[in-house]
Amino acid sequence: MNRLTSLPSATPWLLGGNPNSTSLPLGGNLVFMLLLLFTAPLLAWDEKKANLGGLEGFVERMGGGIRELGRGNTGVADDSAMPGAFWNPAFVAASHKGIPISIDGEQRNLGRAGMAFGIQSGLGSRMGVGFALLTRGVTDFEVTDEDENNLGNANPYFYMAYLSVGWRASRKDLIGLSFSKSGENFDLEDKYEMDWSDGGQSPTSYNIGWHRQWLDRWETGIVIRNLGFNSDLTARWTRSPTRDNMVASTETFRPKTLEMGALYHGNLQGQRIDLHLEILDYQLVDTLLAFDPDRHYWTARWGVEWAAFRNGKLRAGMDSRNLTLGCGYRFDLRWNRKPWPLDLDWALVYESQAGFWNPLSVGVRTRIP
Amino acid sequence: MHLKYLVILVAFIVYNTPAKDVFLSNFSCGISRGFIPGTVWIIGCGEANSANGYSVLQLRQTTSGLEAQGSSDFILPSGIMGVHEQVFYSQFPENRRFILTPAGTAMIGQAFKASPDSGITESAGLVRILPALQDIDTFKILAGNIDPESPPEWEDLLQVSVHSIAVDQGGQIWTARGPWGVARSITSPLTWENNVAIPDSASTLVLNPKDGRWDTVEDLSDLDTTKSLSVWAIAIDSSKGTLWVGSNKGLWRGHRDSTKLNRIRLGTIDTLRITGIWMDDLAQKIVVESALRDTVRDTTRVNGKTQIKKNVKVISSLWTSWNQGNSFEKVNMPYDSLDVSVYAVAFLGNVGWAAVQGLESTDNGLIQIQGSTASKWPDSLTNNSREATSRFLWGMEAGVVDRDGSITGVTTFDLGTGKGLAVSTFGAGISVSADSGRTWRQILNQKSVKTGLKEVRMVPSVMRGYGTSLVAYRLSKSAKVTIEVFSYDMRKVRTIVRNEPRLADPVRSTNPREDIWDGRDDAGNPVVAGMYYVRVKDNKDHESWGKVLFLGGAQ
Repeated sequence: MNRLTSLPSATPWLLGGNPNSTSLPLGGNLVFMLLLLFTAPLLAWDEKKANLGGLEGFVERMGGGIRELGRGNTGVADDSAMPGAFWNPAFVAASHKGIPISIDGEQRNLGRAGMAFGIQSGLGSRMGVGFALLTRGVTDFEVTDEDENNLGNANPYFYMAYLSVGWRASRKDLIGLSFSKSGENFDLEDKYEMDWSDGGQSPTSYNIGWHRQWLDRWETGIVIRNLGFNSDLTARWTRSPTRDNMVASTETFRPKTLEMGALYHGNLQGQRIDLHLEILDYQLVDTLLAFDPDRHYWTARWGVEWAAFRNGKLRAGMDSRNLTLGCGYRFDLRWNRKPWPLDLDWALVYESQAGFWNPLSVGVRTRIP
Repeated sequence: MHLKYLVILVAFIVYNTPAKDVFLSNFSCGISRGFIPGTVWIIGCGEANSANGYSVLQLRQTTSGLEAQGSSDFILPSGIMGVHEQVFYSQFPENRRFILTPAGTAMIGQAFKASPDSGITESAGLVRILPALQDIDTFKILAGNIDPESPPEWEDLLQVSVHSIAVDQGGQIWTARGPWGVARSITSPLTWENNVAIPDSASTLVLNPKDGRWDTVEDLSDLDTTKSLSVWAIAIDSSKGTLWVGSNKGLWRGHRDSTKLNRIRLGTIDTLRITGIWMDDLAQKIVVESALRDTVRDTTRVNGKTQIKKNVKVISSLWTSWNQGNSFEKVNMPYDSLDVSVYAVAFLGNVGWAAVQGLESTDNGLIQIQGSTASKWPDSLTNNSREATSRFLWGMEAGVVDRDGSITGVTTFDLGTGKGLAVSTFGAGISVSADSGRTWRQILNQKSVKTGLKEVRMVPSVMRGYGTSLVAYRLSKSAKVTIEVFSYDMRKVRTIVRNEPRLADPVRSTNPREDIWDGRDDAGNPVVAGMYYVRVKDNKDHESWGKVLFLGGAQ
């Protein structure tokens, strides 16, 4: 269903014009520009707070889904974002035909490789379940000891897994809950004579999400990530890389994150254009709630996705200060006489602080009929 | 040079398998002069099995300074260690010993191994290295019984290990073993057979505290250690046959062949706990370490209840004699906070150099003793204002070492034209000086990195929280460099140096004092475990990246 054709005509104050206009409605444009103006300083300001890079959660921060990566790593407000269990646990209850599946792969500079997998399915008329796995690793890491002896190569990897359940609370609202675990394997067993743990894992944490369809042009999503089963609701655990204490155990936690997104469906040159905006707030301490601004880190993302040509999409965005570009193409296949869409996506990411262009990000999305 | 030494040196060179690196490991626990002039021996105590053993270096004065020319390694058999792994953590000075000493045409050290029953590291006797034969073996000296069902703590096992070795002119070896008294070899040298000392080749002597008499013990399992003195230190003036013994109740002196020793008073007390004795070759200068044990009661309240915990506090002192032991003076340590134990002492001219480690602090370095005074290092060495106590410790800031690495030993060695000083370190190789400690040169295992900033190597590339990682790189031309650390998702977490000048160098341009990462971000907070990337960039737009895996736990 084309949402734009079903717009009621009594909402000129929001749309600011003819809903069938081929140009972006002024009102929507104004609102969106105001939001962008408000968040733009955040895009340049994300260095002010404590160092987010020194905290847990880089797998999560790098996101999952090449389509989403190409539009500034945005997805919490788009119920078609994949993997849904990662982006917003509520998405698994969205009305998708068949069983959506996504597989994504990345190879970035300095031997960094990543993969994301997502699958979800409806459950009854109002529920859905989904699973997502995000992994990041390093290839060909040379292990050198204190005497500069080469002990061999290792391939450490880190992952996050999500299991989500969602409900359609109303015609416009979706809510969801996902359970997540993170883990790692340093791949050093045969390099050092220590009693290594069989890959560390965090305890289970949980994430809650909400999605709403406002009229037909607006969608919003809110996700709260990394909540723990304790009095502080903090995803906290003790990391013990070895069993023999040759490497000290450390207390660590993943920052609670509030992610708020808005999605606006517009029209450009007669083709649909989606504008995404997200604001993220990381709480950098493991207390229940901290109101001190110095204990928080804010950043923003924005993205644009334009159906520039038939079956094709062009994307652009920014994730903090990293520029992203992307494109996608849908193949309308058929399987057993049923339509079987296959989307191929590609993204280019510029990591501004390091000065890296990363062109090898490819993803496939499909739906099992 | 004596013909004997010439033969040994030729054999040494002929049979020498050139070491891959300069020595076994940059982590060395102790250093000693060799029996061949110009050589030093180093106890390697790196983590890898291949870094556990001994290295011998030939040092020569060249136009460009002191250099290592020729080296050889002797790796200990698997399971045997020359150093107890907990020695750095012992609170007792008598346990903080790295032993290696020349004995004829061999070097003698101490051996440890893990007990097959308890898994705890215990003394396994002595190690003998015969470089001419490229041979290294261990032998067990008479030992007491340790109940494998309830083995003592490691600290107690260290108490009955070898604390000191004295080698007499005839090759007779005296070994101080704490509560197990002194093992004295009867035959000269010790008879080695199947790695066990034949019972009649060594005798065990214990010192009677009442009259200083030696009692011979046939079976240590019958020994009542409460009725004899524990011997922590031993030294011998071979030319006169004067034996010096440091015990838990005083300093003793007598002739090697005498059955009785006389107690020597230090200050006003003659029952001090003597934990170390060092003397120069002519036995004219002597340094003695005493360590008082005091039991301190710490009172705390837990859940409304008062808990009293007894802690042992050790207070150490140094005593010097510059007149062959006729009289001793207490060394005036600059501040009470400089409470240290001594690893080793070397004598050069009228100066004694003591390698020391704080008893309850991380203080570490050399103390230069002249008479009964510890000397500060010269003001010219640094313009930084430093805590007064640290000016008495000769370490990185005084130029003895060029990077973070504890000093673990000191020795003099023959330079031909005089004597040199050499220092072993844990992590910074060795340092040598040909001008009585005014300037130092570092000798390390270092692998070259590609020039032109084409390679960055992190050493080590896997960091545990308590350590640092060195950023190794090489410039083809002198430039200003910026070194930054990024997380896996390429967020900058730390700027290590910004626009700092570095020189081109044939091996590497790294400044080992500054170009290191300690696992912290710019705010000083420890980062979490993960993969991090280090970028080195110069002001000519060359850059290169290194990788380091941080396992967490920065302290």
